[in-house]
Amino acid sequence: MHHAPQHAMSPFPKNLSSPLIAAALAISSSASLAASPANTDLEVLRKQIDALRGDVEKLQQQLHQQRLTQPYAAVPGRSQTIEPATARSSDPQLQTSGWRQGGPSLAPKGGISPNISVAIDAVGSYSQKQDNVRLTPRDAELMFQANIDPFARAYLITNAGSELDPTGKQGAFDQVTFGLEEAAIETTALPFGLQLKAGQFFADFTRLGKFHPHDLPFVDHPPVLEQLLGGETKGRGVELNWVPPVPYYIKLTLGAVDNVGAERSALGGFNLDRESTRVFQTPETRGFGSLTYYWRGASVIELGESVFLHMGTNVLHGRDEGTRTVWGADAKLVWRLSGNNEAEIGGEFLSGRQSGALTHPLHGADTGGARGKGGYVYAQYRIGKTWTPGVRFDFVRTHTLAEADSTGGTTTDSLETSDETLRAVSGYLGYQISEYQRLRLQLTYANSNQAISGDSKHDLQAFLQWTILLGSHQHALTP
Amino acid sequence: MNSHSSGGHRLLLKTGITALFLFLFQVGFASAAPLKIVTSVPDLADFARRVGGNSVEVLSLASGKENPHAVPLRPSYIAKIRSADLFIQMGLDMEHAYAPALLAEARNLRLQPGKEGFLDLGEDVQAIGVPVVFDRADGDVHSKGNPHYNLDPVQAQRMVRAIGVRLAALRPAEAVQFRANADLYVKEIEERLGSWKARLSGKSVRFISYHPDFAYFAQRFGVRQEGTIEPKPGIEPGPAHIEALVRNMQSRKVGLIVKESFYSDRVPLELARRTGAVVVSVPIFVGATPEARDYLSMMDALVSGFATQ
Repeated sequence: MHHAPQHAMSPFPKNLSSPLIAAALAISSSASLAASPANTDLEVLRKQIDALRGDVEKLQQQLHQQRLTQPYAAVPGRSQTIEPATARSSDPQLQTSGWRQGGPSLAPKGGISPNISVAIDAVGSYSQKQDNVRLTPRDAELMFQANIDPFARAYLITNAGSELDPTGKQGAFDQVTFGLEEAAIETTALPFGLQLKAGQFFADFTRLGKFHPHDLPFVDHPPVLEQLLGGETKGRGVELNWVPPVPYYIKLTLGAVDNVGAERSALGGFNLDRESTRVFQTPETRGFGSLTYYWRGASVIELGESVFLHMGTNVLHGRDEGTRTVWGADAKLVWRLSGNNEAEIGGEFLSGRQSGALTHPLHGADTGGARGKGGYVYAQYRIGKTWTPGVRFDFVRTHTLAEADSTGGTTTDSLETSDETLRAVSGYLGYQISEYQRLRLQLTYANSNQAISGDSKHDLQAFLQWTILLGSHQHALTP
Repeated sequence: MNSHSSGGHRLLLKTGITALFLFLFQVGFASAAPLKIVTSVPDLADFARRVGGNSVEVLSLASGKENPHAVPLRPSYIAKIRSADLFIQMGLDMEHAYAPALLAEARNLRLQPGKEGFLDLGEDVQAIGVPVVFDRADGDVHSKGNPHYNLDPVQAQRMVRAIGVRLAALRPAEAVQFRANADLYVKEIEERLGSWKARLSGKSVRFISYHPDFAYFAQRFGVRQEGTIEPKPGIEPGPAHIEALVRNMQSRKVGLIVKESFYSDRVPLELARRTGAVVVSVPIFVGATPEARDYLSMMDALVSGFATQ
């Protein structure tokens, strides 16, 4: 059954007869009530008035809607009676301040003005080996979103923040950078369950790479995402996703962007220092062959009433910073228990390789390659609406190889290799103060075969995160 | 030339008759298939089933057992929303935690707000508790007002009528039946409303509840709300608020603690122990408790809870 789209911009009322039908209905319904046996009763009269008032409101609403369909028409306020309140708390201490009893809704209808929301994520960190305390506004996001017309919506997110680096010595406030996080247009009315997105956005690749840091279940991005993707899957390009019309929920995504992540490459260490590390060269011009293409297939299966299994697979191939291929798989099991309690176990595995031309700030040009693999597993248990304790285990192994470029590289060694293996265990405890405010404490012990904190190969790091959300906030389904 | 022309006419006639048959077949087929309706809460599903009868298939996204702010996003419902003809919601941000996300992911163009397949019953409500200043310092307030108007039977009657009007518009061939079904249900609610009022009249019930869920109910039945266990909507009580609540309950002689079925009974029982008040656990949606099978039995259980005192 298909309905032709209704034209919201049409200057003519769609259906002039509908108020008449409603009026006829109002009369007929009141007539049928009047015919009931106990019509002399005052109570019944009051009911009739209630019923009539409902019908009149319906008529008013229809007129109001029709006025709204006329472009640039003045929107009159809805004139409605205000009922006397009988349910008011008589104790001033227990009254909810700023509330009005009764009265019509003054909230604007429609979504012409954009929804604006803010997220601030303040993180304090401490590195035991470095005896270093840092306090940073890791994220201060400003988000605007609105429907453009019946066919598309757009959103824009700016971010001011700094890298989470407990061992870093620099003054935190020097490092706050302001920039565009996401700016994208998304279709809302494509047929067959298709959706197209274009602009700059977090690519739908991996489970947690597309999450803004304050939305993660823990304080930091797992090291495997940091090393293979640069933490977040930011890219500039287009993404097409499809929810096929099958009885199960499956989402298939295809994307073409300049690069996914891109802040760092697989050659980076646990805490990458660009000043002393080789990085892959980016192409000066870009043909279709130099784009990064990715795919994600994800599904959520319901195992009974309250157990949900999320699964996903990802593949990426690109030629931005060298030739890069990353593939991975992820899963999450959520078990909803009584009393708002919820158990969650999740994990992700990623493997990648990269090769191409390298540059080094001191040594010049090389060629080389890198490969890495790793993953994380976490388990958490939400107790009621407030406490969420959890643990996470991380493992990443990277292998890099740099060869002297025969055409003029100045590397002292003709062959340099480096292997790094990082293991970390974290414990965290979240405390949800309200729906819009959360505190989280995390302790992480990391150990590597390379120096990761000054000269030390291991470190104990502590994080205290305070996250707030301002403005409209909607829950989303993230398969 | 002539024969060619008459051949053309015959062809046109044949095509026309075939098209007419196909059209009639399609219309007949379409009207035989039940209208697929998805509702946000089970109360609306009950109304839609009663109004639509055998001509509708109804699914509710919430089961009624959950806190409406924490209804799980069940992905299997996406396929159901995908093929639905009508989505009905309470509105006033009641469903913000789950309905918008599921509707967005289902991508059913018929159910977009403003289309005939989208019915927001909150649009015609004179909402109670519309914040003068919308400030989250007042807790998790709803900018459009208190959304729990389903507990007012007069509002229920209005919703039943509105569903009847919309079903009639979606399937004009069965409009008479839908309106008759709606009128019948409105009358049944009317009859029960009298007995509910009789049970609570003259009792001067003073109560507290966990969350401000009973504003419309209290207005309709003349019971007095003397506070909430949550100091502000969505905020769990601390010791200071509990002390203030105990003092208030004692000074105002509040004998009833109404606990919405999905909340923990820890604080209500502590308050009952300290004040001598009675705790009753009540459904605020159809399906919340075993006895709340449909709207009438849910309201029966609710009124019984209030009549305990």
